Amino acid sequence: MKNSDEILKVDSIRKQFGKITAVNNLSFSINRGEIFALLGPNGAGKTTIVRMLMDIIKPDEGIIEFYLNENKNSRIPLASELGYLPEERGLYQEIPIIKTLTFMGVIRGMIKKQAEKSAEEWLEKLELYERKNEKLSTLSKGNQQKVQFISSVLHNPSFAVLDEPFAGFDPINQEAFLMIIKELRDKGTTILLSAHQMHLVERIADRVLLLNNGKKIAYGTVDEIKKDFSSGEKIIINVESIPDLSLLQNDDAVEKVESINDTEVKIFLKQNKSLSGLLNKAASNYTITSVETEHISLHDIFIERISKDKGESNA
Amino acid sequence: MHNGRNSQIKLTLEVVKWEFNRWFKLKDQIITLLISALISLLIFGGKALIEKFSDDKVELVIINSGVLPIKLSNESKIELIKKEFAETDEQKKLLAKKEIGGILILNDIDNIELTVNKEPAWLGELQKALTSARQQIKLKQSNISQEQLKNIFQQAQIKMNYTETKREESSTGEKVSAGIFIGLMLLGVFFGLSYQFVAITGEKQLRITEVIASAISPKTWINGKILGISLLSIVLLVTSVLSTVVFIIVSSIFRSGWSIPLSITNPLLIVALFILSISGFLLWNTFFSAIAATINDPNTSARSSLMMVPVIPVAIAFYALGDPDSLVMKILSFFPLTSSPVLSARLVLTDVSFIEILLSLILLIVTIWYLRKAAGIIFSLSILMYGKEPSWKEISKWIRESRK
Repeated sequence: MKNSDEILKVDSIRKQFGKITAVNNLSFSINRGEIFALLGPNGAGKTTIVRMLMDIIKPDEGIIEFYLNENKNSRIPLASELGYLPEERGLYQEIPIIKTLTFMGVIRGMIKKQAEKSAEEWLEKLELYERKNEKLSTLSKGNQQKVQFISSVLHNPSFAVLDEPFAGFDPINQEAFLMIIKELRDKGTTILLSAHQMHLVERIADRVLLLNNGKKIAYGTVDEIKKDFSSGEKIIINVESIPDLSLLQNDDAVEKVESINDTEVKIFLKQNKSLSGLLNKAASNYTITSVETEHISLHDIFIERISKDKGESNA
Repeated sequence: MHNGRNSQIKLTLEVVKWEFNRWFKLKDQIITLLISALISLLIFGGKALIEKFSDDKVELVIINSGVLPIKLSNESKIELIKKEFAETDEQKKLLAKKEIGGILILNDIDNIELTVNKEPAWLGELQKALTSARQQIKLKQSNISQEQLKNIFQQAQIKMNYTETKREESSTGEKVSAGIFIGLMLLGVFFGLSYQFVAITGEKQLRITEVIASAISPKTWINGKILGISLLSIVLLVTSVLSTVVFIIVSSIFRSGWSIPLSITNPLLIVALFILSISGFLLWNTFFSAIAATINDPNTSARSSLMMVPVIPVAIAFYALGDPDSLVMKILSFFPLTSSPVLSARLVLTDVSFIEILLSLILLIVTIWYLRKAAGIIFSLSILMYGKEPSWKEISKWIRESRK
């Protein structure tokens, strides 16, 4: 049964390549107008899922249903309704940029003039309009990435899959693309993104699916996942000499202790546990020079959950 | 993902346009024609110019000219200077200084001496004139008239009675036309081969395939590619034909004896040849696209050489020039892989029944249809395989499974 907000429903999909199970009995859904992040280490099955969603490969088992157009019975999307930025980037190098983009718009269902106009608007927005008649090979890697991004969204899709959209960009352009993706969402495009830049994903993703070895590890909004995470807060203390970590590790309030360097220690607190008791204990044993408290990040959760899953798999 | 039937046709046409425009450069074609004209001018104009400036007569001193009455044509560059006495040291000095071209001494009709510095270009012409003069003398001595001699060496005459209407032996013009036609087909195969190869392996190497495969079906894509590159091959062939025409026109301006063989004038024949050429290009381009899709790295793959396979049936068609009605050529006219070039050659050279043409075309079109389907399956599965080439076993498994 589909929730009224759902734009995509994936039910029990499985994909096997020889002896390797790339995706194992996975179910999830994406809601209309949200930014949904697909996270996982290399080889987790993200690209396989994306390719199945884009109908490039078929699942061995399970169902993928799109509800892009409320008035349409078909669960198979039109090419014009989908946008796709693949992880494996590639466009025609020796053809003028505007021609390639127009062709990409046309094969996504736009009429030629409309595609050309949209391509020009996007090129203007990304400061590449002046170079529209140049060959792609003359652009820098970052600018080629921009053109590739334009090719995936110029037809104004209802649903866009962006695989590693921040890869190859400097921090300034990463910030710019964060805003562009938000703008796309605000204009009504539902976005599925797969990225390794957790700090950026955390800032824009409405919901997250964390994968490892083709299986679901965590799923929900960022807040829900953080809430489910065993640790509450994270503190970083600086001390004058190398601390005895076992002393901190055995404290009731502590979930995990990590040594960052010789004088810096990262402590993850258990949920609802007070910081004051731990600090008193630390102060009586070490000379503390500074204390910082941080919220648990998606990155921390990612590392924790993947490590835990690996541990369970090995056991 | 789907696009609907009408959209599939529209998208196929968009891919055809894209593939054609991607490779076709009007400027390049115009430059090709201009270069062709320039080369023709250089070759034939240059030849005419050289001939104009090298029309100095060669003086040949002839001793005892009465022995053989030599007759040279008006255009001959040999100028005979008759002397009735033996060569002298003075004449030899003139020869050494290249003031005369040679000294010809006619001792008698079977004893002729020629003294030159080195073998002259006009030796053949002189030999011909001497032989002719000698034959005349010998005829006179034998008391045989020219007519009697002609009669002696005349061929045996056979009066032919045919039970079936027999076509006349192919003329040289027809053979030249058929040869040129097969040559053009061969050129078309090379055009298709090179462009299909570069287009598909290039897209694979540039990782464009995934973007396109997410927007259009592999079937639409391969159909567009086959049609687009077949169209490109034909247009490039037209440019080649035009270049040849320019070459012939320029040569005829300078009267080099070339002419356009105009034995193919029947409109029905032209239509049949056109259909056969298009079908051939479609068949070969389908083959090329399927093979190219399985190639991972065009520089190292052993499969690259397979792209040359369609050259074989076209080359075989040249044998039709010798005996277009042989059993082998008749069989090859029906065999889809060879029918396009072989039947085309036979159509120009001999009479082929309508039923034969129809059957051959049906077989060819059915083969294109099935090969295109198989190519579509291979293409759709191979195009996204990076770093590894599918084995023949895998390819045959894909085709078998697609039938289920």
